Amino acid sequence: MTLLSMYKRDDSRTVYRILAQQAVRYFDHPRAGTESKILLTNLSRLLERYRCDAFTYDDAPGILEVFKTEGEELRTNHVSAGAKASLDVIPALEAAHARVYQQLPREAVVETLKALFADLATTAVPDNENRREDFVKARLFFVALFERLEERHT
Amino acid sequence: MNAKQFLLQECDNVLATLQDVLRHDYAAGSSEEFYNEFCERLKFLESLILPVDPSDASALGMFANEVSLLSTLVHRMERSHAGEFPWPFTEYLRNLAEPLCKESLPDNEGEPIIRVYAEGGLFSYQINLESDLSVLNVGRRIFTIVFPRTLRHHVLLHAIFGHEIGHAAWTIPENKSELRSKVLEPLRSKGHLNSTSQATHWLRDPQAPAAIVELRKQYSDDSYTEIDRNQLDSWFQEFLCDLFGLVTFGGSFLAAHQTLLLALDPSGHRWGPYHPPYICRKAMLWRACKHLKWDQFPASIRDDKFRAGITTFINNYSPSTEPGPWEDVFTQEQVAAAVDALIAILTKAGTSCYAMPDEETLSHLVRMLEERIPPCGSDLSGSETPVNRSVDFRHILLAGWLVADKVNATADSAEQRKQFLQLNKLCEMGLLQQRAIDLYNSGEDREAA
Repeated sequence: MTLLSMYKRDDSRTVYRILAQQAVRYFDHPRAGTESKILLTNLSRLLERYRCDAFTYDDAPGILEVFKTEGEELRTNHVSAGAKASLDVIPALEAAHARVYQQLPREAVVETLKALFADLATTAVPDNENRREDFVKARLFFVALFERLEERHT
Repeated sequence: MNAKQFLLQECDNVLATLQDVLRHDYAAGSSEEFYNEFCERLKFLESLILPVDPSDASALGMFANEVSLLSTLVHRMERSHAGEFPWPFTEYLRNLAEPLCKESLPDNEGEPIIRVYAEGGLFSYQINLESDLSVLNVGRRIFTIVFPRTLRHHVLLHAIFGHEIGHAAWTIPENKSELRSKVLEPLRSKGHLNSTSQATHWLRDPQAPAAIVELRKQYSDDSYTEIDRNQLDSWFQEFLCDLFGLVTFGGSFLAAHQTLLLALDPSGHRWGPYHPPYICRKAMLWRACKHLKWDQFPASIRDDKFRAGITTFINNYSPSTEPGPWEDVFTQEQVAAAVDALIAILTKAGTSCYAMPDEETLSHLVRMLEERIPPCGSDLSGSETPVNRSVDFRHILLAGWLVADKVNATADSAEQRKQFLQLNKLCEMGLLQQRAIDLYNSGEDREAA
C-alpha cells in the first residue's frame, strides 16, 4: 500500500496561472537565461495546443496493459487517453484572445506570439515599432490569461 | 518543516541523487542532454517554488507532483543500463520515432530526448510520454522507451513498438490535429463504433460471439458494457496506433502483435477501458493488409518453396478468410482512407514507411538465418573487395519471423522455444552488424561527396 492515495486531478489551471504570472513579470523585466528559455518554451507549447485544439492528456497505458487485473483501471496514476481535457485553460485562453486580439484568427495570434518569443530569445527588448506593439499586446494577453485563471483560485 | 520548505529540501535531494547516478556507466547518446535538461528543470522549479505563498495549497500540491516526477526520472536514468536492453534495435526505433516527436519550437527545444530502460513484467512495453498539461517543468520533452527486462534479446517481439510510436506522435499537437482529422475521422465516420450509444448497443448485441456473451456474464455490472466518450476515444487511439505499427514495422508488427496479445488473452475477446477487443483490432489490420496488397506479396515470389513459406506466414497472421461480422467494425473504404492518410502524414514528417522487400533481399536474409549467420547486408562471397549492402532493419525482422514460423511447423515445443531465442539473438546481432555497415557506407558516401 502506498503512503497516500489520491485521485489524479487536473493541475493545468494552477500550472498556467503560475506561468502566465511569470510571463507578465518577464514582459515587465525581460531577461535572458535558462529560466526565461524554459518559460518561453512552456508558453510556446501551450500556444501550439491552442492552435491545434490539442488539450487532452495522453497518458496512454502500454499496449499490453489491457490485460491487467480487474480494478486496475481505477489506479490513480492512469487516466483514460483523452479523458482529461484541460477545461479551465481553454476558455481562459479564448477570453484573453478575445480581450486583446479581438477578431484576429487563432492561427495569427499564435504566430504573432511565437514570433515575438523567438525574437525575445535573442534580443530582450524589441527594437522596432511593430514589435513593440506586439510586445505590449503580448503582455496584456498574459495579464488577461492570469486574471482569468486566478478568478477561481482567489 | 512546512510543505514549501520540504519541497525545496527535496529539490536538493533530487539534484544530489542525479550527481550520484552519473557516477555509473549508462547508455551513451543522450546522457549529457538528459543531465543538462534535468538541471535546467530543477533550477526552474526552485525559482518558482521560492516565491510561492506557503498558504497557496494548489500551487504547493502541484509542485509536490513536479518534484516527485523529477525523482522518478532520475530513478529511470539510474536503471537505463546499456546491458539491459537491445540497443541496436533501440537505435533504429529512435530513428523512426524522432521525426514524429519533434515539435515546432525555437532553438533545439522541440528536439525530444529519448531515453531507454528495462522494467519487470510483460506489461512494460511502453513509451512514457511527457504530455500532461498539469505538469509544469518541461523544457525539452523526454520520451522513455521501456522494454520488458526478460525479453531483452527478443527483437522480433519488439516490433510491437510500432504501436507505441503512434502514442508518442499523438502527443505532438500538430500531429494530433492531422491524425484526428485525416486518420481517425474516416474510422469514426460510420459503423458500430460511430457513437457511444451505438458502441454500447454493439457490445450488448445478442448475436455477438459466444466468448463476448460469456465475458458479459462475468462482468455482470452494466458499466462494463456501457461505452462512454473517454473509453471510445481511447479505443480509437488504440486502433490508430495499431495502424501506426503496421505501416512502420510491416509484417513483423502483425506477428508480434498477435503473439503478445494472444499470449495474454488467448481468446482475443477481452476489452477494457483503454483497449477494444483484440479480434476487432485484428480485423482492422486484416483490412489494412489487404489495402496494402500484402496478401498478394507471395505471388511476386518466383521460388516455389520460398513462396509457400511466405504464404504460410501471411495466413498465420492475416488469414485469407474475412473477419466475422461482429468484430469487423470498419469497412474496407474506412480502413483504406485511414491507412493512406497515415502514410502521407508519416512521409511528410520524414519517417520511412514499411515497404515489402524484394525476393533477392529477403531470401538472402532467410538463408543467412538458416545457416545461423546474423542476417544483414554483408557480402559473404569471399571477395577481396566486399560490397556490403544497405538493408532495411524491418526486413531483417521479417526474415526472423519467417524462419521462426518454419521452425514452429517442424520442431517440438522445447526446440521451438530454444530456436526462437536463438533466432532473436541472431537478428539482434544482424541489426548490430547492419548498423555498422550503414555507418561505414554513409562515411564512404560523405568522403565521395
